Amino acid sequence: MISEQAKQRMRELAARYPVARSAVMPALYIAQAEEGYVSRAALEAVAEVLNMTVDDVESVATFYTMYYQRPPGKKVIKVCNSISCYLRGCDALIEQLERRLRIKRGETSPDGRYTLLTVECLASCGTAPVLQVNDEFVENLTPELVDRLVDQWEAEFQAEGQSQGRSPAGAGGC
Amino acid sequence: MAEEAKNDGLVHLTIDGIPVAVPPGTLVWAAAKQAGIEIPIYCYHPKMPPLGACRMCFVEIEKMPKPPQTACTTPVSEGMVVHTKTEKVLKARRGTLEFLLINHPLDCPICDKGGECDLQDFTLRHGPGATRFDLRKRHYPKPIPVSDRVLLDRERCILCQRCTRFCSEISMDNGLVMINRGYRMEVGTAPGQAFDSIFSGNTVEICPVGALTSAKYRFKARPWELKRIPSVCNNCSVGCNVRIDVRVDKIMRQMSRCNDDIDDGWLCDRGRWDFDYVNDAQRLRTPLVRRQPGGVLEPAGWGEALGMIAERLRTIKERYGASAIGGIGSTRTTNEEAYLFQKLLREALGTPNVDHHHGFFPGLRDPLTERPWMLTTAIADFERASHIVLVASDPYERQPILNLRIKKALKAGARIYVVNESPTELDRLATRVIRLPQHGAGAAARLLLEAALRQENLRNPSEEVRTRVLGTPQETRQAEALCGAETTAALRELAREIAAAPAALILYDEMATLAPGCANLAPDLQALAVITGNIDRPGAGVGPLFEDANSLGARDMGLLPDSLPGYRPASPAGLSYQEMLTSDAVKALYIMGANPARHLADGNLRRGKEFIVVQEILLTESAQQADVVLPALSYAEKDGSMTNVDHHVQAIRRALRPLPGARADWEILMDLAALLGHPWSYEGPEDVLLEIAAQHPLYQGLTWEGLGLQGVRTGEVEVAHA
Ligand code: SF4
Ligand code: SF4
Ligand code: FES
Ligand code: FES
Repeated sequence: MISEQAKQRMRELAARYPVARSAVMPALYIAQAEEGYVSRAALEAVAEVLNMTVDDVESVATFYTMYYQRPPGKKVIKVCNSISCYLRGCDALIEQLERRLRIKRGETSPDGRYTLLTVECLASCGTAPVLQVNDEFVENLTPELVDRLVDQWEAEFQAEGQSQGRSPAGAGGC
Repeated sequence: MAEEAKNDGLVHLTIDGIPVAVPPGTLVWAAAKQAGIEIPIYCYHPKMPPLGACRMCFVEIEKMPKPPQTACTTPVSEGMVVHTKTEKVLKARRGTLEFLLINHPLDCPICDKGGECDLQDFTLRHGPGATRFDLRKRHYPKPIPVSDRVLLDRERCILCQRCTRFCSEISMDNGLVMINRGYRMEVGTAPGQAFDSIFSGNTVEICPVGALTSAKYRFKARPWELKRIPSVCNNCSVGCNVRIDVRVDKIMRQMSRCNDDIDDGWLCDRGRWDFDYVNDAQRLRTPLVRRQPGGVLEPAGWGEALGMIAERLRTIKERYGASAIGGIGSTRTTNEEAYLFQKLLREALGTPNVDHHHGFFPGLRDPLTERPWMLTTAIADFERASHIVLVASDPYERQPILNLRIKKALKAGARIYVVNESPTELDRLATRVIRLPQHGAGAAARLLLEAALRQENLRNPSEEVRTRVLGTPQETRQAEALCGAETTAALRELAREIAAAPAALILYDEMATLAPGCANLAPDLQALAVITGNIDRPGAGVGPLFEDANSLGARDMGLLPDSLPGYRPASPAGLSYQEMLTSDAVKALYIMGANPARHLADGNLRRGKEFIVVQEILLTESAQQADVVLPALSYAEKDGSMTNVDHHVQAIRRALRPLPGARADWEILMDLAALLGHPWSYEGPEDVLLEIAAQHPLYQGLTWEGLGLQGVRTGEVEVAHA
C-alpha cells in the first residue's frame, strides 16, 4: 500500500514539471521508500498519479538498478565493480562477502538480513575499492576491513534480536 | 546550373554516384530509397521518428567524422556524398549482423516469419556466412503470451524496439515496453498485465523478425504459399486498406496495405483478425425455404427459391398494393448491391419502402450547407485540427484507426475534448473530459450551440439558427437541468473555445443520434461548426462517424425512404426502418445483409408479416424467421465498391473462390429482377458503377478501373459541381 501522503508528495513533484511524467523517477523513490521495493502497488500508484500506464512505469523501474524489484534485505550492500575498484581488487572482496554472508551477488539472504549487489562506479574512485551499506560509503576496503564490517553487522543484528526478546531467525539455539 | 539547382528548394546530394534531390529534412535512408538504393533497417520505421538503435543502416558519408554513419538518423545536407557499398560499410553491416545472430536461436524452419524475415534476408544480402561465436546461447522459455492474441519469443527478438515504439509513439498506450537494460533487456509488459491494445496486431506486422507472432496465424501457412489480394477491411466505416492473404480458399490473415489518406499504414485487431465468419463452417450453402406456413426451413434449389419469392411478392402486391412490401438493405454490402437493391424495390416491385439501420438525420441534407449528412473533412486533415471535440463517440471502440489519427493530431498540437457518458480510451490524453448524464448528448449539443450563439464576433452568424435556438429557451433550460450546473458550465467554456479555435473538428457517433433526446444532435453540432466557421477550413470540420464499412454508401445509394440515389428526394417517401418492422400495413419484408431482429425488443420480425426474405451469409436471428433464405457471399468473395466515412470510394476485390452454392447479392438481385419482368443487362458490378456514376453527382466520372488500389475521395465533388 502506498500511503496518501506519499501520493501527495508525488503530486507535488509532478506539478513542478511541464509534463507530469518527468517526475517518474523521484516518484518511484518515494514509492520505494514506503515499501522497501517497487511493488505492484507502487507501479500502480505512480502510474495513477502521473497519468502513465503501469507498463510504462515498469519499463523505467526495471531500467535502473537502484529500484528494487523484490523486497531487499535490511542491509543492502552495494559493492562497486567498475574499473578503479576492479584494479584495486574488488573481485576478491566480493567473493569474500559472498562466503561470509552465504549468498551470491544479486541475492538476498533467506533471513532477510542482507542483500548483496554489485554496482557500477560509485564515483569514489580515489578511495577504491568501495562499497555502500544502505547508501553509507565504506572506503579503502581491505579483506580485514570487510571481515570487521561483517562481524559488526552480525553483532548489530544480535543486539537487535536480544533487545526484542527473541533470537533472530536462523540463529537457532544460541 | 548550380544557381538553378539551389533555387528549387531541394537538397542535392549524391548516393553511390547517383544525384538525388529531396526536400530538406529528408533522412539519408529515404533519399537512398528514392534513388532506388536499399539500405537495410531494423529499428527505423518510416511512420515513426528515427531511433538509431540497431546499427544496421550504416553508410559512409564523405567529410563526416567517425564513419560509418546511420542512414536512418542522418538528415541530408547540400552537397553530401554518400556511399552505401564501401568496404567499411559492408564490414560494419557484417559486424552488426554477426552480433544480432550471437544469441539468435536460428529456428527459422518453424518460425512464422520464415520467408519474409528481415533477419534472414539481410543476413543473406549483407551478413557474414559464419559465426565466430561457439559458446552457449542465451535461452528463454518460448514463446510467452503477452496477450490472448500475441505471443513473444524473446530468443528471436533483436531488440530493435519497433514494437515498443509503436506503443509509445503511435498507439500511445505503452502496451509493450522495454524491460531491464543491457544484456538483460527484453520486450514485455508490467507483471500480470496483458498487452490488450486494440492495435496490438500492428506490432506483429512491423516486428522485423519472428519475435512477435499472432495466435491466429501461428503455424497456419508459409508466406510463399499465400495468395495476396488487395482489398478493404469490412469491419467498420474507416475502410482501412488490407491485403487478404489466402491459402487454399481460406483467409489466413489480413495485413496492412498502407493508405496514407485513410489508415496511415495501420490496422486495428478487429480488421486484422475478425474474419472468421468468412471461413465459418456454418456458412449458408444453399437456399432454404419454408414450404408450409409455420413449417421448417428446408434446403431448396435456387430456381425454386427465387420462383417462390417472385410469386409470393406478386400475390402480396396484388392483394395489398406495392406499398405492403418493404426492403431493408445493408451497411456492409457494396454500393452496386445497395443500388440494385433499391432499384429492385422501387422499380421492379414499385414500393417506396426502402431503408436500412442508420443514425437519425433530419432530411436528406443539412439545411445550412445543403450538403448530404457526412463528415465534412478528410481523415488525413484531422492532423491539422487545433481542437478535436468528440461528442458521444468513442472511435477506439467503434472506428479504431481514427483513434490513431486523433493521437497523431494530438502530437501535432491538437487539444482533445471528450464529451461522453462513459469513460473512453482517449480520456487519459484529453485536455478536458466532460462527463454527460445518460442520453445527455442531445442536451450537450444544444448547450454548446446555444453558448456559441452568444459569442461576439461569430465568424458566420446565422439568423436561422439564432431564431431556432434562442427562440426556444425552455429547451435550453431542460438541457441545463439534465446536465447539471458543473457540466453546463464546462460545455459553455468549451463552446467559447470552439468559437475561437483556429480549426475545430467536431465528431459524433452516427448511432448516438438514436438515443432519447438526441434527435437534434446532428443538426445542432453541424450548426455549431457552421456558425463558428469551423467548416471548409483545413483541419476544421464536423460530422458523423458512421458504423459500418458501407454505411455512407448505403445512404448515397438511396437506401433511405426519402432519398433516391444521389440524395434526390423520393416522392412519395416510403416507410422508415422502424415503421416497416412494426407496421401491420407491411406484409412482406425483403432483407439483404441485415439483421433487424436485433433491433426489436422481442426479436420477433413476423408480427403482421406474411412473407419474409433474407439474403445472408449465416443463419442469423432474422434469417431463422424468414420464409426464404438466400445464401450470399462475403466481401472477400466478390468485387465491388464501398464508401468509407470520409467518402473514399474504394474497391473490394474477390480474394477467395466463392463458397459453392452461395451467390453475390448483386447476382441474386439481377435474377430476381428478371423473374419480376425487369431483365437488367449489367455484365458485372463495373457496369452498375457506371450507371451510378451517370446519375450520382458524388460518383461522377468513377469507373471500376479508376478506383485503382487506393480509391478516390469524392466528398467535395458535388459541392464543386453545384
Ligand atoms: S519483438 Fe520484434 S519489434 Fe519488438 S523489439 Fe523485438 S525484434 Fe523488435
Ligand atoms: S479501423 Fe475499421 S476499417 Fe480499419 S482495420 Fe479496424 S475495423 Fe477495419
Ligand atoms: S570505480 Fe569504484 S568508485 Fe569508481
Ligand atoms: S535502422 Fe538505423 S540504426 Fe536502426
